[in-house]
Amino acid sequence: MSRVTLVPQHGVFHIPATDQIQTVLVDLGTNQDHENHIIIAPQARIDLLILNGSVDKLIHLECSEYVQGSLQIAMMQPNKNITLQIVMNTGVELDASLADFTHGKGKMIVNAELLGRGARLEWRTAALSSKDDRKYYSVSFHHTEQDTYANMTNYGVTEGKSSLQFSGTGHIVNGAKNSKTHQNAKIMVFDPQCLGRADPILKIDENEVEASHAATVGKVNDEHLFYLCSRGLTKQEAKRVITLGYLNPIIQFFTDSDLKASLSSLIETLS
Amino acid sequence: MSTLVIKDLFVKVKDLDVEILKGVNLTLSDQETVALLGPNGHGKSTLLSAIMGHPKYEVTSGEILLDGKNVLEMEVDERSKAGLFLGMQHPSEVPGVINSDFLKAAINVRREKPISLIELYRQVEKASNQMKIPVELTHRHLNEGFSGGERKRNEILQLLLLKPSIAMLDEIDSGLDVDALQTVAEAIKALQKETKMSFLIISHYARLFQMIQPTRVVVMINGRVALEGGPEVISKIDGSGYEWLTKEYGIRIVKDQKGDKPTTMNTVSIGVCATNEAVNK
Repeated sequence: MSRVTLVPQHGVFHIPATDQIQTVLVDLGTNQDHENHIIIAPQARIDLLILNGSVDKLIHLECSEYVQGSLQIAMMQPNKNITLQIVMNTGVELDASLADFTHGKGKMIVNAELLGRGARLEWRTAALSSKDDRKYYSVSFHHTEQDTYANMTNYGVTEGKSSLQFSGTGHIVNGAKNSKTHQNAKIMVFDPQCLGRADPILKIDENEVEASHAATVGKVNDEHLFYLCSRGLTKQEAKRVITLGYLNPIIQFFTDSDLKASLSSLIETLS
Repeated sequence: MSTLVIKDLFVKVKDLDVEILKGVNLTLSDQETVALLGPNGHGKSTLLSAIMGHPKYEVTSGEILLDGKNVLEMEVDERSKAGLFLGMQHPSEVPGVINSDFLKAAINVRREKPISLIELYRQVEKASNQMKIPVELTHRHLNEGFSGGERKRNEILQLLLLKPSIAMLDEIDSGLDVDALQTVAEAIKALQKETKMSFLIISHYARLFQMIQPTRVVVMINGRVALEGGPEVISKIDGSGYEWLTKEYGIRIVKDQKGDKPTTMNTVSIGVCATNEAVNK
């Protein structure tokens, strides 16, 4: 699949609408600006790939009316502090995946504003925190219009002396009838000295809505470890195989083959 | 090929502090097929799990020797690599782990040079054909969504690929239909004929044993080996149950062996749900 690497014009990445689905790469590592704006034209069909840079970033992503497609965020450099503001206007449908298998300490804050009627966001995260990493992810959905939908699924593995925290917020304001907000976080804790924490929050100011949250933080299943070890895998190998199985599924949501390969090799190297 | 010796083995459930095995003595010699029988809850599965090193159990005294080597000093993976294999009664679903990746890893830990993909495929295809399961099953997540019969056949498929010296099979026939039972029995018979593998097999049904013809029968009662004999013991148990042991040998069968039933809440662990949902999104 061919992809277009976008360059900013006056500090703004503009993505036009075309007849066909376009794959667009925004590499934030190519500029040192703290603030980056990405504007997607109405009715554009896109697979938007974002690679992080080596400095802290504030990203404004504006999806105009009836934009459809995927947002694929790959942390290819040690995680810094990143804030992503997503504005979703009427009829926008976005399927977003975030993969972070790098080493480092940092925060990722995602605020999605579902401003337009019928806006839909599917958000998933897969994160590995190992050694002495400190990773924090906060994903918030703000439903301000009727018939909006958002769902987040965050999966993580923490090992060694690292920490991993997922914070999820679903906020449906008064008047956003028939909106749906759901969230699910799961963290697998491998070692006694690591910390996994999941904080699901719901703020519901409207009656005619659907909302749910779930969070699980737990250790690896002893029966799984025993089963794998009973076939000759060391505990370390068994944990590695389980980690791969836990994090690998996110890769299927990345459409670019080079990026898939890079992410796979990052998991292989780190776990 | 190998000899497994169990001497005066005492085993308890760690969390419950309940003793299940109370002095088991058993020797499994080269190329033997031993049928392990006994009423439910009298220690058969515990014995096999303890030999394999299941973390749920603690050996409080006694010895397990494999060709003179102290098995109790080995980690679980070392026991496997030393030649022990446990075909489980309830094989775990390990979500996210692709069956063929797992098989490759299990084969490679026994080899100096990693197996080539072509050779892996050839071996897996041959074993799959032998077990009459589609080779595509190996591309799925390990045991996830497998039927009871598929799981058991997948256990035997692993046995065929890993070729241990001692195969312990825990109720490998439960959940199998007649055809699948025949397939499993044929695979065991082929291994009996073509290798020097020894078998220690738990089953509650005479049918499997009729097919694979065990050389010896061991009956466990109250956490000990209560009786050893020939294949005629299987027929006797199949026809009369275990009560005749009380009449003929004065062995009192204690009914309440509740060690396997947890009385405390399980600690939280993540497994099946998480990856299922991630994959199915």
